[in-house]
Amino acid sequence: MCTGKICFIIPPHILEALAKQGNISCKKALNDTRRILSKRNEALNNLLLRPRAERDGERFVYDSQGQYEQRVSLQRTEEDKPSGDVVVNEAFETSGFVRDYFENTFGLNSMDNMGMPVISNVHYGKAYNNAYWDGDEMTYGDGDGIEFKNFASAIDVVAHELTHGVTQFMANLEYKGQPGALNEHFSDVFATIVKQKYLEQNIEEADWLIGDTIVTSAFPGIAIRSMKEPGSANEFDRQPAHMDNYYSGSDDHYGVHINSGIPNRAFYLCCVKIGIEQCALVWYHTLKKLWRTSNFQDMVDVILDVTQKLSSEGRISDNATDAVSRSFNSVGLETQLV
Amino acid sequence: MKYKVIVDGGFTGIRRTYEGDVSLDEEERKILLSALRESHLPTKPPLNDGEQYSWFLENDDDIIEAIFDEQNHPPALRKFLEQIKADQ
Repeated sequence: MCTGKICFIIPPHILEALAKQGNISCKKALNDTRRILSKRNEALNNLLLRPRAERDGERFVYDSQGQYEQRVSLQRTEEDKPSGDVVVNEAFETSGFVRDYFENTFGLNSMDNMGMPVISNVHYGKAYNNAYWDGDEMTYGDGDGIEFKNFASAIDVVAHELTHGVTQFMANLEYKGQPGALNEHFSDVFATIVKQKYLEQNIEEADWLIGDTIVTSAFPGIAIRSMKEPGSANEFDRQPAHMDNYYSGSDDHYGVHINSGIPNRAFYLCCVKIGIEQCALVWYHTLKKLWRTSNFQDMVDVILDVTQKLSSEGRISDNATDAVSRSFNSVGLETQLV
Repeated sequence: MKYKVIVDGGFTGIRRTYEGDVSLDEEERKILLSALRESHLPTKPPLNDGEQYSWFLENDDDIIEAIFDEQNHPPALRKFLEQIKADQ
């Protein structure tokens, strides 16, 4: 027996099949479902068609319902009450926290500084051990529950993915080799900064780990990456902490998640010297000045220029340039102070 | 049918290899081989944190191989990979 109440939680294709068999209650539910879906799609389309300046990074969380598809079922927007799905709510909250961090700290209006919607897809695929940024939106798997879990609930994972969006609209670093490793580096940098803010930790209390909450006890390691000690987070961790161990193979788009360990370690060393707030400012303004094919040496040159400028404007401490320079020297990258 | 799949990249950056031998009926074998022969030239730049899938399937005495990105990984191969993972 199909009651109206039950029919509302039944997928549309089943409702359709039952409606075709003459079930009135299912037919009504199907019509209501379609009407609601159409209204929501219309609302989203109207929002996307609004002039860019009027947007302010509204959040949309979709449920992929275990399919390898995005935007399957809209579950929560700024106007909605919390969903019954905890993952939807966590994706909503964490993406809002990251968006607000960039706005409150740097005045950035969403990832493109034009208020683009912050769209998340959760429950993507089956036992999918990944999260990614596709140029427009974020997508999260649930993990296999054996080694990985809860990608969408992890503040550092969400910050990492959302920062890929910020990078895309600033430096648009191409996703291979050293520019790709820098792309990954900036995502790990702001994942670390946002995570420490979210957990209200200072740099002594912080663990400097990325992805510690998405691994289970069966996973052979404590996290995915370590900013403090690249290469030590798990038994598969191939990140070098110094240019002497630079990976020059073709795996992983020529090592984008591997060689990012080198600037990651420099970031950690610099935070210890001048604090994470000053580093956040320096790294953010550096990202704004990089370009699509920037390599490690380009970044070092730019970051020194940026640091000197911020220091001369009194926005960071006088010793910041020396601290940045020493940090990059420590990982084998030469610096030339002008 | 002997298979080998290497999953590389992704947020975790962890490279995983799945290798084995499965018994498939003719229809299943045809679907997999056909998926592997689909055009797999990337039409878009790689996704940030997207995974890369390198497939090697043995057909008679040949080894057919193809590499796919997250965006163009054929559903039939995705499903087969899901099954491989579930069986491990």
